[in-house]
Amino acid sequence: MGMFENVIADLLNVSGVRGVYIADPEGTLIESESTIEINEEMSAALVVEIFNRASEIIEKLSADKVDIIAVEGKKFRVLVSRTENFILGVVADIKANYGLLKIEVKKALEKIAMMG
Amino acid sequence: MILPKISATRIERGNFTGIVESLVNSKFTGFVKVAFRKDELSIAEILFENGKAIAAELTKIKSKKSLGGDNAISEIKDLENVVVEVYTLAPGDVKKIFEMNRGFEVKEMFPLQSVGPKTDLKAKSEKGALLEKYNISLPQENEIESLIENAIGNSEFYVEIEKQKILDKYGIKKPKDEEIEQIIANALGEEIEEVELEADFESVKSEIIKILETKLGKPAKKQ
Repeated sequence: MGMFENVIADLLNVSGVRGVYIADPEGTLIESESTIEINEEMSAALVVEIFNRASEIIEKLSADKVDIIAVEGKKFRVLVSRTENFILGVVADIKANYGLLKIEVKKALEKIAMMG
Repeated sequence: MILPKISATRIERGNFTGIVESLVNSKFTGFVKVAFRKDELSIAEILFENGKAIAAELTKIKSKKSLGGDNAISEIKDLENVVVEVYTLAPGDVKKIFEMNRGFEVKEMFPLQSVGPKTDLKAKSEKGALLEKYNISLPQENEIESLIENAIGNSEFYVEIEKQKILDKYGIKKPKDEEIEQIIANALGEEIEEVELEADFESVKSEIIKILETKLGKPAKKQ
Protein backbone atom coordinates (compact mmCIF):
# COMPACT_ATOMS: atom_id res chain seq x y z
CA MET A 1 0.00 0.00 0.00
CA GLY A 2 1.29 3.46 -0.89
CA MET A 3 0.82 6.36 1.44
CA PHE A 4 0.55 9.07 -1.20
CA GLU A 5 -1.30 7.34 -4.03
CA ASN A 6 -4.15 9.87 -3.78
CA VAL A 7 -1.75 12.79 -4.11
CA ILE A 8 0.11 11.23 -7.04
CA ALA A 9 -3.09 10.18 -8.85
CA ASP A 10 -4.60 13.67 -8.46
CA LEU A 11 -1.49 15.33 -9.88
CA LEU A 12 -1.15 12.87 -12.76
CA ASN A 13 -4.79 13.58 -13.61
CA VAL A 14 -3.86 17.20 -14.39
CA SER A 15 -3.46 17.59 -18.13
CA GLY A 16 0.20 17.53 -19.20
CA VAL A 17 1.69 16.09 -15.99
CA ARG A 18 4.20 13.34 -16.84
CA GLY A 19 5.76 12.40 -13.53
CA VAL A 20 5.33 12.92 -9.79
CA TYR A 21 8.10 12.19 -7.28
CA ILE A 22 7.91 12.32 -3.50
CA ALA A 23 11.21 12.06 -1.66
CA ASP A 24 12.64 12.72 1.78
CA PRO A 25 14.99 15.75 2.29
CA GLU A 26 18.02 13.44 1.74
CA GLY A 27 16.83 12.55 -1.76
CA THR A 28 15.54 9.06 -1.11
CA LEU A 29 12.50 8.18 -3.22
CA ILE A 30 9.39 7.49 -1.17
CA GLU A 31 6.75 7.18 -3.84
CA SER A 32 6.44 8.07 -7.51
CA GLU A 33 4.63 7.44 -10.76
CA SER A 34 5.43 8.62 -14.25
CA THR A 35 4.09 8.19 -17.74
CA ILE A 36 7.53 8.71 -19.31
CA GLU A 37 10.49 6.31 -19.38
CA ILE A 38 12.72 7.61 -16.60
CA ASN A 39 14.76 6.35 -13.67
CA GLU A 40 12.44 7.33 -10.83
CA GLU A 41 15.02 7.01 -8.03
CA MET A 42 17.41 9.28 -9.88
CA SER A 43 14.60 11.73 -10.67
CA ALA A 44 13.68 11.94 -6.99
CA ALA A 45 17.31 12.60 -6.04
CA LEU A 46 17.61 15.32 -8.71
CA VAL A 47 14.37 16.97 -7.59
CA VAL A 48 15.78 17.21 -4.04
CA GLU A 49 19.06 18.53 -5.43
CA ILE A 50 17.18 21.30 -7.29
CA PHE A 51 15.39 22.20 -4.07
CA ASN A 52 18.51 22.28 -1.92
CA ARG A 53 20.55 24.34 -4.42
CA ALA A 54 17.71 26.83 -4.95
CA SER A 55 17.26 27.14 -1.19
CA GLU A 56 20.95 28.01 -0.79
CA ILE A 57 20.79 30.57 -3.60
CA ILE A 58 17.65 32.35 -2.42
CA GLU A 59 19.03 32.41 1.13
CA LYS A 60 22.25 34.11 -0.06
CA LEU A 61 20.51 36.42 -2.52
CA SER A 62 17.63 37.65 -0.43
CA ALA A 63 17.65 35.86 2.92
CA ASP A 64 14.35 34.28 1.90
CA LYS A 65 12.98 30.77 1.84
CA VAL A 66 11.84 28.74 -1.15
CA ASP A 67 8.10 28.36 -1.63
CA ILE A 68 7.98 26.78 -5.05
CA ILE A 69 10.68 26.32 -7.72
CA ALA A 70 9.93 26.16 -11.42
CA VAL A 71 12.60 25.10 -13.90
CA GLU A 72 11.66 25.43 -17.56
CA GLY A 73 13.21 23.45 -20.35
CA LYS A 74 12.25 23.49 -24.04
CA LYS A 75 9.84 20.58 -23.65
CA PHE A 76 9.21 20.17 -19.96
CA ARG A 77 8.74 22.20 -16.81
CA VAL A 78 9.79 20.94 -13.39
CA LEU A 79 8.05 22.19 -10.24
CA VAL A 80 9.52 21.47 -6.83
CA SER A 81 8.21 22.30 -3.38
CA ARG A 82 8.45 21.07 0.19
CA THR A 83 6.35 20.30 3.24
CA GLU A 84 7.98 19.53 6.59
CA ASN A 85 9.34 16.07 5.87
CA PHE A 86 8.80 15.58 2.16
CA ILE A 87 9.89 17.13 -1.12
CA LEU A 88 7.49 16.98 -4.03
CA GLY A 89 8.62 17.17 -7.65
CA VAL A 90 6.35 17.36 -10.67
CA VAL A 91 7.44 17.06 -14.30
CA ALA A 92 4.95 18.44 -16.83
CA ASP A 93 4.79 19.37 -20.51
CA ILE A 94 5.83 22.97 -21.13
CA LYS A 95 2.34 23.58 -22.56
CA ALA A 96 0.60 22.44 -19.37
CA ASN A 97 -1.32 25.18 -17.55
CA TYR A 98 1.26 26.67 -15.15
CA GLY A 99 -1.28 28.40 -12.88
CA LEU A 100 -3.33 25.25 -12.47
CA LEU A 101 -0.17 23.24 -11.82
CA LYS A 102 0.85 25.59 -9.00
CA ILE A 103 -2.61 25.29 -7.40
CA GLU A 104 -2.50 21.49 -7.66
CA VAL A 105 1.02 21.34 -6.21
CA LYS A 106 -0.09 23.47 -3.23
CA LYS A 107 -3.12 21.25 -2.68
CA ALA A 108 -0.92 18.17 -2.89
CA LEU A 109 1.43 19.63 -0.26
CA GLU A 110 -1.52 20.26 2.06
CA LYS A 111 -2.62 16.65 1.69
CA ILE A 112 0.91 15.35 2.25
CA ALA A 113 1.09 17.47 5.41
CA MET A 114 -2.23 15.97 6.60
CA MET A 115 -0.97 12.44 5.99
CA GLY A 116 2.64 12.80 7.04
CA MET B 1 -16.90 12.79 -12.43
CA ILE B 2 -17.29 16.53 -12.19
CA LEU B 3 -16.68 17.38 -8.54
CA PRO B 4 -16.00 20.67 -6.74
CA LYS B 5 -12.35 21.53 -6.01
CA ILE B 6 -12.60 21.77 -2.23
CA SER B 7 -10.28 20.79 0.58
CA ALA B 8 -10.67 17.38 2.16
CA THR B 9 -12.66 17.36 5.41
CA ARG B 10 -10.55 14.49 6.72
CA ILE B 11 -8.35 11.63 5.58
CA GLU B 12 -8.96 8.06 6.74
CA ARG B 13 -6.82 4.94 6.42
CA GLY B 14 -7.86 1.30 6.46
CA ASN B 15 -10.21 -1.21 4.88
CA PHE B 16 -12.26 0.59 2.23
CA THR B 17 -15.56 -1.19 2.90
CA GLY B 18 -15.16 -0.52 6.64
CA ILE B 19 -14.63 3.20 6.02
CA VAL B 20 -17.63 3.32 3.68
CA GLU B 21 -19.79 1.45 6.20
CA SER B 22 -19.00 4.09 8.81
CA LEU B 23 -19.99 6.79 6.30
CA VAL B 24 -23.23 4.96 5.53
CA ASN B 25 -24.04 4.64 9.24
CA SER B 26 -23.38 8.33 9.82
CA LYS B 27 -25.70 9.24 6.88
CA PHE B 28 -22.77 10.98 5.16
CA THR B 29 -23.41 13.49 2.39
CA GLY B 30 -20.47 14.36 0.17
CA PHE B 31 -17.88 12.43 -1.80
CA VAL B 32 -14.82 10.29 -1.16
CA LYS B 33 -11.67 9.78 -3.20
CA VAL B 34 -9.52 6.69 -3.03
CA ALA B 35 -6.41 5.89 -5.06
CA PHE B 36 -4.84 2.44 -5.35
CA ARG B 37 -2.57 0.32 -7.49
CA LYS B 38 -4.10 -2.86 -8.92
CA ASP B 39 -2.93 -3.36 -12.48
CA GLU B 40 -2.08 0.35 -12.63
CA LEU B 41 -2.52 3.48 -10.54
CA SER B 42 -6.24 4.30 -10.41
CA ILE B 43 -8.40 6.81 -8.61
CA ALA B 44 -12.04 6.29 -7.65
CA GLU B 45 -14.60 8.88 -6.62
CA ILE B 46 -17.91 8.05 -4.97
CA LEU B 47 -20.72 10.51 -4.35
CA PHE B 48 -22.92 9.89 -1.30
CA GLU B 49 -26.27 11.32 -0.39
CA ASN B 50 -27.57 10.72 3.10
CA GLY B 51 -25.40 7.61 3.50
CA LYS B 52 -26.23 6.11 0.10
CA ALA B 53 -23.73 5.81 -2.78
CA ILE B 54 -25.46 7.49 -5.74
CA ALA B 55 -22.64 7.92 -8.29
CA ALA B 56 -19.14 6.56 -8.80
CA GLU B 57 -16.29 6.68 -11.27
CA LEU B 58 -12.97 4.89 -11.49
CA THR B 59 -10.21 6.36 -13.65
CA LYS B 60 -7.08 4.45 -14.62
CA ILE B 61 -4.37 7.07 -14.71
CA LYS B 62 -1.98 5.78 -17.38
CA SER B 63 -4.40 4.11 -19.79
CA LYS B 64 -7.00 6.88 -19.21
CA LYS B 65 -9.74 4.24 -19.02
CA SER B 66 -12.84 5.06 -17.05
CA LEU B 67 -15.48 2.88 -15.39
CA GLY B 68 -18.73 4.31 -14.11
CA GLY B 69 -21.48 3.35 -11.66
CA ASP B 70 -21.69 -0.28 -10.50
CA ASN B 71 -18.66 -1.32 -12.58
CA ALA B 72 -16.53 1.18 -10.66
CA ILE B 73 -17.93 -0.05 -7.33
CA SER B 74 -17.17 -3.70 -8.13
CA GLU B 75 -13.51 -2.75 -8.76
CA ILE B 76 -13.02 -0.99 -5.44
CA LYS B 77 -15.23 -2.78 -2.93
CA ASP B 78 -12.52 -5.25 -1.88
CA LEU B 79 -9.72 -2.73 -1.32
CA GLU B 80 -7.74 -3.02 1.87
CA ASN B 81 -5.28 -0.62 3.51
CA VAL B 82 -6.14 2.45 1.50
CA VAL B 83 -6.10 6.18 2.13
CA VAL B 84 -9.57 7.68 1.68
CA GLU B 85 -10.10 11.41 1.34
CA VAL B 86 -13.48 12.50 2.67
CA TYR B 87 -15.13 15.67 1.34
CA THR B 88 -18.34 16.87 2.99
CA LEU B 89 -21.01 18.69 0.96
CA ALA B 90 -24.30 20.40 1.68
CA PRO B 91 -27.39 18.32 0.64
CA GLY B 92 -28.39 20.89 -2.00
CA ASP B 93 -24.94 20.73 -3.60
CA VAL B 94 -25.08 16.93 -3.91
CA LYS B 95 -28.25 17.11 -6.01
CA LYS B 96 -26.59 19.55 -8.42
CA ILE B 97 -23.42 17.45 -8.61
CA PHE B 98 -25.47 14.30 -9.21
CA GLU B 99 -27.24 16.01 -12.12
CA MET B 100 -23.83 16.83 -13.65
CA ASN B 101 -22.73 13.19 -13.34
CA ARG B 102 -25.79 11.38 -14.73
CA GLY B 103 -23.75 8.71 -16.51
CA PHE B 104 -22.18 7.41 -13.30
CA GLU B 105 -25.24 6.38 -11.28
CA VAL B 106 -24.84 3.53 -8.79
CA LYS B 107 -27.81 1.17 -8.89
CA GLU B 108 -26.58 -1.60 -6.60
CA MET B 109 -26.61 -1.20 -2.84
CA PHE B 110 -23.13 -0.30 -1.56
CA PRO B 111 -21.45 -1.51 0.61
CA LEU B 112 -22.41 -5.11 -0.05
CA GLN B 113 -20.61 -8.47 0.06
CA SER B 114 -20.59 -9.06 -3.68
CA VAL B 115 -22.98 -9.05 -6.62
CA GLY B 116 -23.43 -12.88 -6.63
CA PRO B 117 -24.61 -13.52 -3.06
CA LYS B 118 -26.92 -10.53 -3.24
CA THR B 119 -28.62 -11.97 -6.32
CA ASP B 120 -28.89 -15.34 -4.56
CA LEU B 121 -30.39 -13.69 -1.52
CA LYS B 122 -32.93 -11.90 -3.70
CA ALA B 123 -33.84 -15.17 -5.47
CA LYS B 124 -34.10 -16.96 -2.13
CA SER B 125 -36.38 -14.31 -0.67
CA GLU B 126 -38.62 -14.47 -3.78
CA LYS B 127 -38.77 -18.28 -3.50
CA GLY B 128 -39.64 -18.01 0.19
CA ALA B 129 -42.40 -15.51 -0.54
CA LEU B 130 -43.92 -17.83 -3.18
CA LEU B 131 -43.79 -20.88 -0.86
CA GLU B 132 -45.48 -18.88 1.86
CA LYS B 133 -48.09 -17.48 -0.54
CA TYR B 134 -49.17 -20.95 -1.75
CA ASN B 135 -48.65 -22.56 1.67
CA ILE B 136 -46.10 -25.08 0.37
CA SER B 137 -43.67 -26.82 2.69
CA LEU B 138 -40.43 -28.13 1.16
CA PRO B 139 -40.21 -31.99 1.06
CA GLN B 140 -37.40 -33.93 2.77
CA GLU B 141 -34.67 -35.72 0.78
CA ASN B 142 -36.23 -39.23 1.20
CA GLU B 143 -39.66 -37.84 0.31
CA ILE B 144 -38.26 -36.53 -2.97
CA GLU B 145 -36.88 -40.00 -3.83
CA SER B 146 -40.19 -41.76 -3.12
CA LEU B 147 -42.04 -39.10 -5.15
CA ILE B 148 -39.78 -39.81 -8.15
CA GLU B 149 -40.22 -43.60 -7.74
CA ASN B 150 -44.00 -43.27 -7.61
CA ALA B 151 -44.05 -41.06 -10.67
CA ILE B 152 -41.78 -43.07 -13.00
CA GLY B 153 -41.24 -46.34 -11.08
CA ASN B 154 -42.78 -48.60 -13.77
CA SER B 155 -41.17 -46.95 -16.77
CA GLU B 156 -38.30 -48.44 -18.81
CA PHE B 157 -36.33 -45.30 -18.09
CA TYR B 158 -36.51 -45.90 -14.33
CA VAL B 159 -35.55 -49.60 -14.77
CA GLU B 160 -32.58 -48.54 -16.86
CA ILE B 161 -31.50 -46.03 -14.18
CA GLU B 162 -31.77 -48.70 -11.47
CA LYS B 163 -29.79 -51.17 -13.62
CA GLN B 164 -27.08 -48.57 -14.15
CA LYS B 165 -26.97 -47.88 -10.39
CA ILE B 166 -26.38 -51.61 -9.67
CA LEU B 167 -23.68 -51.83 -12.37
CA ASP B 168 -21.97 -48.75 -10.93
CA LYS B 169 -22.22 -50.11 -7.40
CA TYR B 170 -20.35 -53.33 -8.26
CA GLY B 171 -18.04 -51.70 -10.78
CA ILE B 172 -19.41 -53.71 -13.70
CA LYS B 173 -18.95 -52.41 -17.20
CA LYS B 174 -21.90 -52.90 -19.52
CA PRO B 175 -20.84 -55.18 -22.44
CA LYS B 176 -21.24 -54.14 -26.07
CA ASP B 177 -23.53 -56.06 -28.47
CA GLU B 178 -20.54 -57.68 -30.26
CA GLU B 179 -19.11 -58.81 -26.94
CA ILE B 180 -22.48 -60.39 -26.00
CA GLU B 181 -22.59 -62.29 -29.32
CA GLN B 182 -19.02 -63.50 -28.80
CA ILE B 183 -19.85 -64.68 -25.28
CA ILE B 184 -22.90 -66.63 -26.57
CA ALA B 185 -20.88 -68.17 -29.41
CA ASN B 186 -18.14 -69.22 -27.00
CA ALA B 187 -20.73 -70.74 -24.67
CA LEU B 188 -22.37 -72.75 -27.45
CA GLY B 189 -19.06 -73.74 -29.04
CA GLU B 190 -20.14 -72.45 -32.47
CA GLU B 191 -18.81 -69.85 -34.78
CA ILE B 192 -21.22 -67.41 -36.22
CA GLU B 193 -21.10 -67.92 -39.97
CA GLU B 194 -21.95 -65.45 -42.55
CA VAL B 195 -24.42 -66.93 -45.02
CA GLU B 196 -23.73 -66.02 -48.60
CA LEU B 197 -26.74 -65.71 -50.85
CA GLU B 198 -26.33 -67.21 -54.30
CA ALA B 199 -28.41 -65.41 -56.88
CA ASP B 200 -29.19 -66.79 -60.37
CA PHE B 201 -28.69 -63.58 -62.32
CA GLU B 202 -29.35 -65.18 -65.73
CA SER B 203 -32.88 -66.29 -64.79
CA VAL B 204 -33.60 -62.85 -63.23
CA LYS B 205 -32.39 -61.19 -66.45
CA SER B 206 -34.62 -63.38 -68.71
CA GLU B 207 -37.60 -62.70 -66.39
CA ILE B 208 -37.11 -58.92 -66.72
CA ILE B 209 -36.83 -59.18 -70.53
CA LYS B 210 -40.06 -61.22 -70.70
CA ILE B 211 -41.94 -58.62 -68.64
CA LEU B 212 -40.65 -55.79 -70.84
CA GLU B 213 -41.66 -57.66 -74.04
CA THR B 214 -45.22 -58.21 -72.79
CA LYS B 215 -45.57 -54.52 -71.78
CA LEU B 216 -43.61 -52.76 -74.55
CA GLY B 217 -43.27 -55.25 -77.40
CA LYS B 218 -40.07 -56.62 -78.89
CA PRO B 219 -37.18 -54.12 -79.00
CA ALA B 220 -35.91 -53.06 -82.44
CA LYS B 221 -32.53 -54.47 -83.45
CA LYS B 222 -29.71 -52.02 -84.07
CA GLN B 223 -28.53 -51.69 -87.72
